[in-house]
Amino acid sequence: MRRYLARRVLAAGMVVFAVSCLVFFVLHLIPGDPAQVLLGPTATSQDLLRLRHELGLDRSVPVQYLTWMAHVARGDFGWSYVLRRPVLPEVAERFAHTLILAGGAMIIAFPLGILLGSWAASRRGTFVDRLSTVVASIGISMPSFWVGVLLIVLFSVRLRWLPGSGMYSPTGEGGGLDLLVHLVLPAITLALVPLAIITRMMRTTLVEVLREDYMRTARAKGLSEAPALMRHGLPNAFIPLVTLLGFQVGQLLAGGVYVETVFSWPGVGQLLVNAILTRDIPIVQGSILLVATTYVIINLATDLLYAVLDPRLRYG
Amino acid sequence: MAVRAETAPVVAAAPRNRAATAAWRSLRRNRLALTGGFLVAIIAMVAMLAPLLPLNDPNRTHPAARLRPPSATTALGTDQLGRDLLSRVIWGARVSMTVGLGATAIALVVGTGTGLLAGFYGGVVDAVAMRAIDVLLAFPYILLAIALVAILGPGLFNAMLAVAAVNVTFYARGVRSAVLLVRQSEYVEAARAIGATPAWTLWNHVVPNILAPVVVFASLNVGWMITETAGLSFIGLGAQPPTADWGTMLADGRAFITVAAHMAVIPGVAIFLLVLGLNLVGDGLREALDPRLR
Repeated sequence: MRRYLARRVLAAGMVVFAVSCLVFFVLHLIPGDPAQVLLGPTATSQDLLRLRHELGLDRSVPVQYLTWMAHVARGDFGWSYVLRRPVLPEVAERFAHTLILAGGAMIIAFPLGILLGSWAASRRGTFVDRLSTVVASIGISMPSFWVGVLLIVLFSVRLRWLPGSGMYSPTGEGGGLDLLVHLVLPAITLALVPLAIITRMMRTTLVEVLREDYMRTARAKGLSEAPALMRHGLPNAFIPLVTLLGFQVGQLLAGGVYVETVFSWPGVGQLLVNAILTRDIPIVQGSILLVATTYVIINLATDLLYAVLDPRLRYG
Repeated sequence: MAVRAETAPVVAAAPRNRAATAAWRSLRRNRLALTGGFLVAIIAMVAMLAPLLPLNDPNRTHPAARLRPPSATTALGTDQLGRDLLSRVIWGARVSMTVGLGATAIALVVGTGTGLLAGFYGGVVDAVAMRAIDVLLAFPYILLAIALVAILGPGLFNAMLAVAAVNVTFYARGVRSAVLLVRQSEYVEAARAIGATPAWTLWNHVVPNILAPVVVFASLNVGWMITETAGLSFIGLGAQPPTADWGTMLADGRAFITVAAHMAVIPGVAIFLLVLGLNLVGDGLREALDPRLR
């Protein structure tokens, strides 16, 4: 177990290093000169040269990478060209907003997906089961940015029940309740695809588990269906679900970008897209590095949780 | 579309002709798959016939008739510049289908090629390819696509390349593990024993046996490619104005959602119907080609 753990942590560290290399070299691959972006079209060639020197852009690429990494290690991701403020606090603040959105979506998708999937599996071949399959197909086929639009049209424009834009009311005082009200529609939108995937996965896994010998044994020793499912079925069905959980959480962080755009949710995805369109490279690097590193950590945590849940991996 | 690692290609080797007949019979009996096929066929036909249909020019503006709701004269209404939405949706189908098929073809060819070489030859080729893929998989796929567009620059073609590149990893991984299984089979050993070259064995014995799962994966993948490229266009990184693209049309509609909801709803319906149709066909193919699901 300890060796497995050490190997996984080491591998994750190497992936983060490779990601940091990739992210850094984005700077050199993106067309356009950062000094030109900063100074605008009226800059003289002397000004450009001076700024390039100040930014260290006239040094060799490996030196630039090492300097950048040394700064990043101290939490200094540089300054945004466009927002004219340090990258880290900006990205961190936006990332927190994205986490709130992803968290809201998870709270909806996971319990509901497990419930619907189990329900369909326990009624395999019936109308309920077929209906869940069709609904899941429909859920997977609906682009989140369109679902968001539909929800806004219905609940914000027509019914005026819920706000369809932003995190807080511009006129209100803010606060938890205001945030919660603004969170409902984007969280539901973001939850739909994972909900459909979890429902499908839960159904398939549980259908297989229900056929296993240990389930027959449980029934044979007199357990009725519900306790047998709770004690022996679900724990075994949860193992593949853990992998899916890690994968989906990671995807939600980045997948939020469409939902953030539809609902003008000030998350890191929206920040990244705007930074790409305005060639604000430090923000592009900072946000990609932060999201990708978080994703690697989530995957690592999932693998470790998997090892705890599945004894075969622990002793293998 | 969220067809990811959990549905990556697996080997389903069986005598080919008999399996193909059984698969075709299973597909024909699957009502959902037939409905999906029907949907896709209709959309594809209308898209192909677009230049021959009596439609308005999709890019001709008509400021006097802007933001009109669907009516007898303009079946699907008009947008903020007075352009005919029916015409734009139909021309947009051409864009979406081309992009979806193009991206799938690129990912399929590059990914399958990488997976075949890595799995069959092993050694350094395998190690390098798999480590590179590990790093790419460390990014959430949407983030990777966005990062690639950042490098290549916004635009429809670049968005398509980015979406294809992200998917190369899934094909390469799935094909590689399938090849590893096939490589150990007796018929590959027999081919080697009679002196067949590795390239001949790869083409005549390995490729045909991993084809079915790759086809299934690709069929489920097209829809995802279409959605993702439309998504990139929606956030401004894909198709640029005035291209009649469903993602861009949805983004335009989002801006006028309080006064002309139809502008955002209609292109979404188009994406949904096409992707649903493709996914239903893909699911049907998977059931038909995987004997365990039949």
